[in-house]
Amino acid sequence: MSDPVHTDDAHGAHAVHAEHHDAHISDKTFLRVFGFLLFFTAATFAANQFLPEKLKWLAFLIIGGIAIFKATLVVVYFMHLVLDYKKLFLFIVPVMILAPLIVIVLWPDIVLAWRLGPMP
Amino acid sequence: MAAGVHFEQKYLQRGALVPTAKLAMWLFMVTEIMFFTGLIGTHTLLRMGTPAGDWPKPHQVHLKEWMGAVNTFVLIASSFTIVLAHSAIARGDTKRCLLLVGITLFGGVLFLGIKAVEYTAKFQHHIMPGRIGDNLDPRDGRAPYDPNYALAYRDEVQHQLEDIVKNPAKHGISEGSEDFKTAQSFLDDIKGTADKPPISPLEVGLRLHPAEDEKKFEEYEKKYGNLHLTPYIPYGNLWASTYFTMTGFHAAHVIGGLVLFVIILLKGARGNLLPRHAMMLELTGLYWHFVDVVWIFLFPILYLI
Repeated sequence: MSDPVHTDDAHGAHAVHAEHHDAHISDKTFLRVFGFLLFFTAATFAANQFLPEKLKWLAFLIIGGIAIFKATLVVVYFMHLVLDYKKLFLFIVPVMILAPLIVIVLWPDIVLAWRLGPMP
Repeated sequence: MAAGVHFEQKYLQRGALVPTAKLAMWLFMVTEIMFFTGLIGTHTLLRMGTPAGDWPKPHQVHLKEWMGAVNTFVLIASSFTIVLAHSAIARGDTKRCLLLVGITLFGGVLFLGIKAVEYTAKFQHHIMPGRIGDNLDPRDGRAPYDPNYALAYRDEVQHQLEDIVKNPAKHGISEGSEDFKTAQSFLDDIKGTADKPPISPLEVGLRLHPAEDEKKFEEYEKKYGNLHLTPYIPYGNLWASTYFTMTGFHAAHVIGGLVLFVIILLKGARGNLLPRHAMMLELTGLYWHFVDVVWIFLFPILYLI
């Protein structure tokens, strides 16, 4: 139980304390997450450097997947969403849907239109 | 009276189980996600909207992958130290907390320093929005093709060469050197002679086109690298606009974080940083992690894929 990280401050609501009585992330966990982040950064760099031009699509998938995974690690552990107030997701989830949709709705006009060519 | 008490109890139970400041911070951060989605989304759409393979490759625009990777490391490490700083102050260890905030501040400054080196390299090579030779080929079907723009590009390169030939020392080139001879003969080709007409803007551009092929690119760098002439990079201006907008706004966010770290350090220097300020550290940390997350996406988008 060493190195506790409280999810609230000294004036925090007692209710928070009650809910997460022994909720904490240890410094050891942070160190492990940091190690993972470094490892995956190196993996990204390696995928870009060593995969041949033919496997560009694979590099794209690996690099994109790793970026999402790294961001999730940071948000879940460093921003301690793993033990925070779960209703915070009411902010986060809609934005996570809206953000990619904004790009997707413009895709047909800006990207697909010229790639598909004139209508048959 | 009983009804009133009952109401108050119910009201308290309905309250958010999170400090108001943190709730506000998360609300702020989701608006920031949309802010960067606008920038990254625009970049993605413009990039995918160019013919396949035409978007500038990182080496063509003087981006060094390893510099981006080092900056990623620096930012992740500083995220780690700020999370430990919060952990320390939550335990009541303000001294350790201040040390870790100091290291985080150093990380942020280092990140900006590397970014500044990168920006400088781009300015030296005229890789700036609206300053790159672009759309010089009337045959590639990009609309609108403007011959005046193409001529203006040739004039720009001509002025740069004239300046080099007239005043080589200013450009760090000695008279009679290989670079000087290259500049001289290039200028002659642009001006034309009695029996040789001036070369077209596209021909000028093709000589100053940083090749996609890495080997050819090295040859180009060897021949023209020291002259720092305006390059010809199709879609280079779009690339530069999106690059500087995204990294510029990200750097502005980094500066914002540094200001917060300095405020915490000043508080500590006056002996005013107490364990009850853990929330301040936590909110600053949340913001700094957000800046880190944005870079986690910017790095592969700009430097790798």
